[in-house]
Formats: sequence, C-alpha cells, structure tokens
Amino acid sequence: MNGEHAIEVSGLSKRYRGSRGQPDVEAVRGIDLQVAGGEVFGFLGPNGAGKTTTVRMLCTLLPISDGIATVAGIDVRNDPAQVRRRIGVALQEVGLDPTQTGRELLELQCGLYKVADPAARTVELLELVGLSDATDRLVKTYSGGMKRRLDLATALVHAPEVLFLDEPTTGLDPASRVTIWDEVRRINESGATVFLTTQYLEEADQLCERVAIIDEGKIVAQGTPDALKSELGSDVVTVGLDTDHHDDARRALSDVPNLDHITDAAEGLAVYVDDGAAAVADIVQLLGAAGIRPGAITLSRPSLDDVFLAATGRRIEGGLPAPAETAGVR
Amino acid sequence: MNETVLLGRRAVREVWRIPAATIPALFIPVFFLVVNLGQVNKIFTPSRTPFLHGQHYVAFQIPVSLVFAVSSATSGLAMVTDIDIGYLDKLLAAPIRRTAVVWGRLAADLARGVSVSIIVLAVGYAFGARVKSGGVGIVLLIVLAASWGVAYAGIAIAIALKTKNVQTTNASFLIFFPLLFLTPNFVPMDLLAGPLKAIARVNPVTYVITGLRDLVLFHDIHWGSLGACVLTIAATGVVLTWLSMRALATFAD
Repeated sequence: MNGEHAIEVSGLSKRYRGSRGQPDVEAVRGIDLQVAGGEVFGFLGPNGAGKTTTVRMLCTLLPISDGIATVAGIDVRNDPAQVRRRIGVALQEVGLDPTQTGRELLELQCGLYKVADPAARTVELLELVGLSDATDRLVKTYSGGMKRRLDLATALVHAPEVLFLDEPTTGLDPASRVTIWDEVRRINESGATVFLTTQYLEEADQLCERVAIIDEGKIVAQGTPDALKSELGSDVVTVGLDTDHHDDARRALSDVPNLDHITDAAEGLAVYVDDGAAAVADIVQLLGAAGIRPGAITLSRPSLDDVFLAATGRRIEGGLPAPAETAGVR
Repeated sequence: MNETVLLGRRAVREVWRIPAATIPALFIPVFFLVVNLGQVNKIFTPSRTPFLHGQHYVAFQIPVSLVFAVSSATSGLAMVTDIDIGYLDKLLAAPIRRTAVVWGRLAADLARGVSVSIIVLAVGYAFGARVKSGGVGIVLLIVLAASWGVAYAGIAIAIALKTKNVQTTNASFLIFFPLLFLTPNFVPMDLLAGPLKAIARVNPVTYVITGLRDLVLFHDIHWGSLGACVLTIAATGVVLTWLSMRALATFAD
C-alpha cells in the first residue's frame, strides 16, 4: 500500500461531453482526498454533488478525465485490473440478478473472484448477513433490506482491502439501516477500509471517523465530524415561533450575548451562541421584552448539516432554504 | 472454474427460469410456418413441384422457421436488464476478462438455440417434413441453426450496450425481418424476380437458409452450400461479436 493511505486522490476530475452543442458538464472538479488504511471514511453531499461519480471512477467503472487516484496503493488509471482484485463494491443500485437464488449469486461471485471454496464461503457470508434462511430463495422474493445485505455480501466474497459503499442505506427502513450500520462496523473491525457515500448526516455521524463534504463537484469541508462541527464554535438554540414573529424575534435576539449568527429553522429560528445553556434565559427575556411568546426551546450541538450550511449556504437535507439574512455576527 | 462458464451457467439458468422470454420467439416462426403451409400447401405439391425433390412444402420451409426462431434479441434484452438493475456494473467491477460478460450471454444463446431448433424440427416432423440427410443432417441442422442464433445475437448485445434502451434493442429483431424475407424463403433462387434475386444473392441469410435446406431436401451432403452456410455463420459471428465486444469496451465512456 502507498504509505498509510488506502485511497489517495489528487486533482480528480470528471467531465462529460455536452451533447448537441451543450457545454461540457464537470461533475467532479479537481478534488483531493486521503483515506487512511482501516478507517471508515464518509463522503457526504446532496444528490447530484458528485459522490457516485467519484466512487465510480475509484472503482474503475468510469474513466478519469484528469488527476491521479490510487486505491490500495495501485494507480486506478494505469492498473485497473489490479484495483478490481483489491476492492469490494456495493453501488447505490443493488446489483443483483433477481432470477438467481442468494446461494447461486454468491457462489458465482466467489467463482469470479477465484475464492478457494465457493460453497463454504457462500454459507459463511449468508450467515454473516443473516440470510441463511433465504439461501435458496430467488432474489426477486427478497425484501429491500435483504437485497441490500446480500449485495453487501457479494462485495465481501474475497475479503477486500477497500470496500466502497455507495449510499448503502438509501430507501431502507430505520431497522434495516441499523442492521447495515452494524455490518459496516463489523467489516471495518475485520480490517477493511470503508469508503462510504451518504446523504444521511446521521449515518456519517454514526459510522465515519472522518468525512469529506462535496458540493457541486468540489470538496467544501474535510475532517472528523467533531472537528468540523467544533469549527462552527457554537451551540444551537432552536426557538419555536409563529411565522409572523420571525422578523421581530430576529431583531430582538440580535442582543443575545456571545451571539454567532441566527438562521431560519423548521420550528422558528436557530440561534448560534457560544454557551447555549447560559443563553436560554437571555433569549426568553429578550423575546418577552419584545412581546413575543416563544414555543418550545431546544438546545443542541451543531450538526453536519450546519457544517454544510456554513460551507455552501444551503442545507443537505430537510429542504430548508438558506437564511435570507443573518444577524448579530460578532 | 472459468468465468465464461460461470456466467454462461447463470445466463442459461435465467433462460430456463424466464420461459416467457423465449416462447414468443418460438411462437412467431411456428405461426408463420403454419399460415404459410395453409396458404400454399395445395399449390406446391410434391408431385408437381420439382424444387421440393419429393418432399412436402413444409420441408422446404423448415430451415426458414429454424433461422427465424433462433434470431432473437433475447440476449440483448437481458443485457439491458443487467444494465438497468446494476448487475453489469457488479460484473465490470470484478477482476474478470470483460469479454467473458459477452461470451456468457452467447453461451445462453447456444443453449436456447439448440432447444428451440429441436422444437421447430419436431413441429416440422409433425407436419410431415423429413430430414433426408438422416441423423447427421439433423445434428447439423440443430448445431448450425443454434450457431446462427449465437452469431446474430451480437447485434442485439451491441445495440443494448450502446443505447441501454429496451425499445431500441428490441428493434434489432425487426432488422431481421427484411433480412429473412429478402431471401429465397418461399421458392428457390432461380424462381425469384430479378431485383429480388439480386438482393437475395448479397443477403447472408440466403446462404444460411440454403445450406440448411439442402440438408433437409437431399440424401447426400451438398458440401458447397454447407460450406457457404458455415462461412456465413462464422463471418457474421466474428463481425457482430466483435461489435458487441467493442461496445462493452467503450460502455463507460
């Protein structure tokens, strides 16, 4: 492996030629990444940000337009066949043939990767992902969660050094999502580096030691989730308000001591302050003085969504628009 | 085990488990055979029709039905499905020769071609056709017809990989209609009208049908027509399989 990096990317770009006189589309714009061996790395961003395009380039499924990428120490452009031997891939679209049984698909996959005893490895993997009871059922009869788990098993047949998971829990119910998270942790504990794309902030928070946030093809933030959130340096006090009172409340709250900034929130306003616990009393007092009666007040730490908001002016999920204005910047 | 064998086994299982994908391809040529016989059986009688060489007209038509039955877009459609469900990506991310993906599909075409040819021959026998060249001729008919199915399958696979579209891939089957009917399919070459005869002479399907037909109508093997048939199948196979391999190589571009 090249140094300690399981994945190393420098200036990676992907351009698609524009059709019928349209300009070229640059889906990934010169990104740099380093993923250490043995870590779970989260690649976070909204739909269309460039996550899947990046993964497809690293998995040798898409030609690289510019830049350098190494996976498990091997240059993706120069030796894609070697890269394929060292990686496991579970893409966003569950790639399973519905006309085969779970056993047939896994044995086939073991055969393609030249696994020594395909039958034994298949039994082992089906047990690992909790599908032993469904071994000889056609895949088309599996639930969405079962398909995801089988897809994950197909990516593990050869115990890959680096595992790429592209939105592994999209479309799953909460229980199935937690099951997949447990599997990812177990795979990582067995020594595999995991590169995981997601648009779910909680997933990145739960699983990933480090994350990179991508937006419109560019990395806008990179680091551990805690470090990224700490950079915002604030607690968030969310104040429930009637829509009619937003502007008056925003003006009143601009006098909160140690205020960082205020943004719109689904319930009312989100007030970013250095010490949230101390600020709650001031917030209630200032709103009372302005004749505004607040609803529920909650105190939380900034989320990765706040990190994304700070970097791009937009939210990844939840559909909240960027704040029209902020107040009280120190 | 070899990756082509593994993928071929998977494709054959798929053919077996989705009979609905094969039955229509079988139904149409059998339907045409029955309708054609109903229309001309009393005109082309064995005693008054020299080009039948004493056989019923059904024997003259069996090679056409065989070629019709095996020339399907099924493998191309299966390839589009693999693209749609993401299974092709899984195969392309595996450390295998990419050509194995196409060879695996063609293996299924061979299996399908053999089964379909046996059924069409059985229908022909039920209507009174006999293969004059005997057991060797029957085996050759099945092998050659199935081989033509494999050779022709490359066009649907290439279109599937280029367009990733079901309707366009299915249209590769429609391309075959003019190829089939611009041949001496109803009467021998020397009875065709001038322009049609000129087209039939450069149509490769003519040589496939003629080679198969001679196996049905004559006791002795006609090496000239058989050789032309084998060469046509081989050349078509090389060109169309190369096209499908090329389409796969540039699939992600």
